[in-house]
Amino acid sequence: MRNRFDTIAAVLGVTGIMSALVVFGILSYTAPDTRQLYDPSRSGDQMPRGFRQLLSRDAIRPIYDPQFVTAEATPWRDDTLVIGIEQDGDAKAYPVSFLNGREMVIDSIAGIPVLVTW
Amino acid sequence: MVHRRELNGETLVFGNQGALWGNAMTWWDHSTGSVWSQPLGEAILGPHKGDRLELFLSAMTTWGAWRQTHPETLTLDAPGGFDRISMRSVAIVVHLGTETAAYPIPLLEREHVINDTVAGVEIAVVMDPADPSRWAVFSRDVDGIVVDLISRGDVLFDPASGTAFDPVRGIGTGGTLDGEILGHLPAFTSFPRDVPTFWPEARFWTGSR
Repeated sequence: MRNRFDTIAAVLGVTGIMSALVVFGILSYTAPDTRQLYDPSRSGDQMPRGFRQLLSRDAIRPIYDPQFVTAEATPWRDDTLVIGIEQDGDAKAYPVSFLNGREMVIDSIAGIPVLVTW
Repeated sequence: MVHRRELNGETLVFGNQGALWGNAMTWWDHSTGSVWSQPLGEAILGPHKGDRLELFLSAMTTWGAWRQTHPETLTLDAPGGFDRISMRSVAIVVHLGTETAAYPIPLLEREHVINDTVAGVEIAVVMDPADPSRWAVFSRDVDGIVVDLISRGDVLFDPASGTAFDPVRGIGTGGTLDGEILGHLPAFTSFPRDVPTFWPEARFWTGSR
């Protein structure tokens, strides 16, 4: 009995610490609870014609937390192909060939959430 | 492509579904797991099925050209060693309302400016002949006056008003439309063979009539 209470206490303790970390913003990223999500392979839905599941979700991991540098600190050649966006005086550029590999950037510009894909 | 990842006021986070549909990538959203088609910006499976994201105005151009017009730009901190991708293999796609039109780059290289109408909207697709990565799609409607643009040296010229528009920002100088600005329209690039898969109704530009 004592052991079980210890375990419960330990679990509650760890949960409490984790909650506190989340509340205080120390652990800010919460992975989605994938069990609650729609999953095409378990849905029983008819897949649209030509739909091919090749990899698992995020096997090619999108850039969820993009980091940026200034134009002066950018070493690219002038003929590097980029996707550029601008909003309210802010501007951002993403190299196409890098997007070719990572495919997705979850970003925002001037407070507008955007999804950059290639 | 760049999409606004907002739906009815909710911000969505997207992941990579790892599946192809119509030979193009698909995404999943973290709140419902619905599966989205990239070229359509629309959910094809799951609770969001039929919902569509708005296209965000973006340019595909060279770093040199972008830096010149946006000196304060930030850039994605990405490792170097980039492959070169040729603009000549793609088409510029304009999707307005229920109509879609595709303009292959090699034709634009020859014509420089294409005046067209898509879903009742008067548009101009323009490209710098010296650099195919510098292109833009403008509205030709300037406060109710429709301009007909021709390529003249480095500018877009409207003979009726005598106004010259710069091909990057669309700002008019001289003539009766001096100071007016052509509005940018959202457009994106796609490989021509993929266009009919997603927009079966798409019309391909085959040259000026």
